[in-house]
Amino acid sequence: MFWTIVGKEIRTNVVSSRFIILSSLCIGLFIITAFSLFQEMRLSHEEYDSNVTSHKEAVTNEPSLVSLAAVSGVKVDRRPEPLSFIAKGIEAARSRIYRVTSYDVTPIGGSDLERNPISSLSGPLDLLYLFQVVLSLLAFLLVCDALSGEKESGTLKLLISHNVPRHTILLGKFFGNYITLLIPLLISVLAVGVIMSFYSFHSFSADDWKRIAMMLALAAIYLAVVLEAGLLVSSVTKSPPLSFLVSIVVWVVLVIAIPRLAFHLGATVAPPPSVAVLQNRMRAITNEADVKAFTEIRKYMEKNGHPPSRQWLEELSSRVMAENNAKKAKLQQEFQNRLTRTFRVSGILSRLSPSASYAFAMQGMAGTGFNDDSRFGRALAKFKDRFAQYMEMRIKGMSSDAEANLPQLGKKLNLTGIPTFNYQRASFADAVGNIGLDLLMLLLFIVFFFLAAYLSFLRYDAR
Amino acid sequence: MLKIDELVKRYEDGILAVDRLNLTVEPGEIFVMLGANGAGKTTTVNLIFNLIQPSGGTIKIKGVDVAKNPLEARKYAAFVSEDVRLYGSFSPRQNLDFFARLSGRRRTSKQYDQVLHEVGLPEDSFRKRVSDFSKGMRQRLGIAVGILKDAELIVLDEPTSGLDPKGGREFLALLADLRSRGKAIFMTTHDIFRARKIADRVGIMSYGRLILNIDRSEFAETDLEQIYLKYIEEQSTDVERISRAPKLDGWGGLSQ
Ligand SMILES: Nc1ncnc2c1ncn2[C@@H]1O[C@H](COP(=O)(O)OP(=O)(O)OP(=O)(O)O)[C@@H](O)[C@H]1O
Ligand SMILES: [Mg+2]
Repeated sequence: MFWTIVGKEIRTNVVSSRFIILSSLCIGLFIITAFSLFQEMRLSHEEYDSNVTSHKEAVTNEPSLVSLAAVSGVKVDRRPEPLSFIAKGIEAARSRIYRVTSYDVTPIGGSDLERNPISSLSGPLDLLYLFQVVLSLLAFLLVCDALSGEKESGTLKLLISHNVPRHTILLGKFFGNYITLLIPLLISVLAVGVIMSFYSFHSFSADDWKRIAMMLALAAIYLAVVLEAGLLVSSVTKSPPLSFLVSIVVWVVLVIAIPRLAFHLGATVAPPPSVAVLQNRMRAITNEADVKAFTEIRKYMEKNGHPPSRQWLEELSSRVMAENNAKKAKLQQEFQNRLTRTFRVSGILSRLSPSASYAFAMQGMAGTGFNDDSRFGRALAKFKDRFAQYMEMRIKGMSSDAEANLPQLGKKLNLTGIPTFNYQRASFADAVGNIGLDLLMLLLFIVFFFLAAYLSFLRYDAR
Repeated sequence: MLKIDELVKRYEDGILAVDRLNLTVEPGEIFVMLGANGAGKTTTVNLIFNLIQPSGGTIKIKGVDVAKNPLEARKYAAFVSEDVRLYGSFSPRQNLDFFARLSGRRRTSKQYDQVLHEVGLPEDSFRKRVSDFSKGMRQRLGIAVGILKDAELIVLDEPTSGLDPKGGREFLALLADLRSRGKAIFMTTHDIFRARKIADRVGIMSYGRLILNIDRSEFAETDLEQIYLKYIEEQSTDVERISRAPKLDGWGGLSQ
């Protein structure tokens, strides 16, 4: 009985013009998007590679160790996450290049939005957007009149008179429509895969594949959630036109309004810190340190009548720098805490919508979520410390101040052993752990929508 | 086979659609229910299949209480509703096959064709999509679905409403055949002419009450149409009179 209904759902769906139009639209969008996505991915990977080489080169061309440590620093490139084409996440807004000196880490531009400001008009391009918006609309429109349509055609009465229990009708409809929806989903994914094979921007590791598999599973779960939301709409509306109207409203609220508004609302309740203010304060701390160092040197000279020894200066420098670093680290930490708070508040609000949970989970798996961003920030800070240590050691090791300070004309700097920045995203297990809450939310939504649809269908007037 | 006892249905908005209805239909018997629009016929049919809950009274199909055990009771009853459109993207055969599977008895396509012939659908329509069917063709297909269930009780709500004269005649032959196979048949209609031809028993419903319940021997000699109009008119004047009278709780007061 159950499979009879599942089969009927699939057979009536696949020949319906509604399904054919909607799924062609969906597949078409995936294909078009894939081309521009992979083109962009290839470009940004090429750009990354060439930046890395040129930044490496630039370091050895620095005139002196001191200018390298204090002024120019090394440039660190943020590698585009290979899976960011699936979920761009926070990466779109982040700088791709950072200057790291002994005192500071400064983003020096090159975010996606800066490179292509026009793209901010439409929001970042990724596959997540298609899954989240297009696929969910497809699911809603396909299933929203599943019950009201049968009521209208009189077949619901007939089903019941043929002794089909209501839960069988509902489950049959769910699985029938679910299987139907897997068709455009699988075709889309396959098409994207084929297109991807033409753009070899990155050779995926086993870890990447695991993440891709996980993201497909997430898409399947999300599809179940929206399908059930659609069934719920169907079980509370009495006629197909009303079903369509209500499902569009519900779709807009769940998929568009809540996830978007939540972040603005979150920023109102818990305002995020300003990056510009942070940088101004950082600069102020550096200036303060400079002033302090010079004052002490002047005092020494006034008192002793001769310049301080090199050892004295080195001691002063490491003391001032330690203070400077501590202050900056504290400031950075405050900044990060406030950002985390904003994210938490927005997160709580937006998780009223399964669509937001789904997006968070996908970004987490792609390595472009909020957690990954914080992780990258921590890696940068650590790298700065290692760099500062190395530079200090090297400068101390010089035979004279002049050698450290003056341009070594015609000679390249010897920088053996200089630390390199190596960012590793979280392990697969950690990434899954991080999206645990969102996974749980999605599963809860499945249970909730199904129960709600079932309870309301039990009281549904079949006449 | 079908036994209705003191059945009452009052809708949420207070309308008393069925008022203390009593009737029985035996195997091999055709019960035809006549009644004006809004008399409560469809409501009665919906109650028989427990599509709506009764406010009082019982319905038993083959001794099984419909309200208490609807799944069991529905096994013995087939349903032909007044305007069923079935699955438009399916052919008649596919529609029959779907419902046959639901009752757990698949047939061969030959058997489906035979039923479709019986209800008088033309051969060239067997493969067409039902959405292209005319109203009468859909009605015939609906009857085919009902017959195919092969239940002991067949309940039909205005089955002849869309049928052409030829279809009407074929339909009567079909009913007679079903009766000869021992089926109990309960049917509502506005078609007094056909009711008279086929019915073993005729009931007239008015404002939810069965105001007349006579068997063939009682109406064979008389003009059924005359009886019908007479009763309907009497009732409506009664109603007008009574509804103008103060302090009356619902149509229930009519029976006093
Ligand atoms: N869902 C409902 N809610 C409230 N009242 C209803 C509902 N369905 C029917 N009624 C009322 O119940 C009464 C009986 O309706 P019913 O459909 O049973 O009549 P009927 O005899 O089948 O009429 P027709 O010959 O027009 O098909 C009418 O007064 C109608 O308005
Ligand atoms: Mg009716």
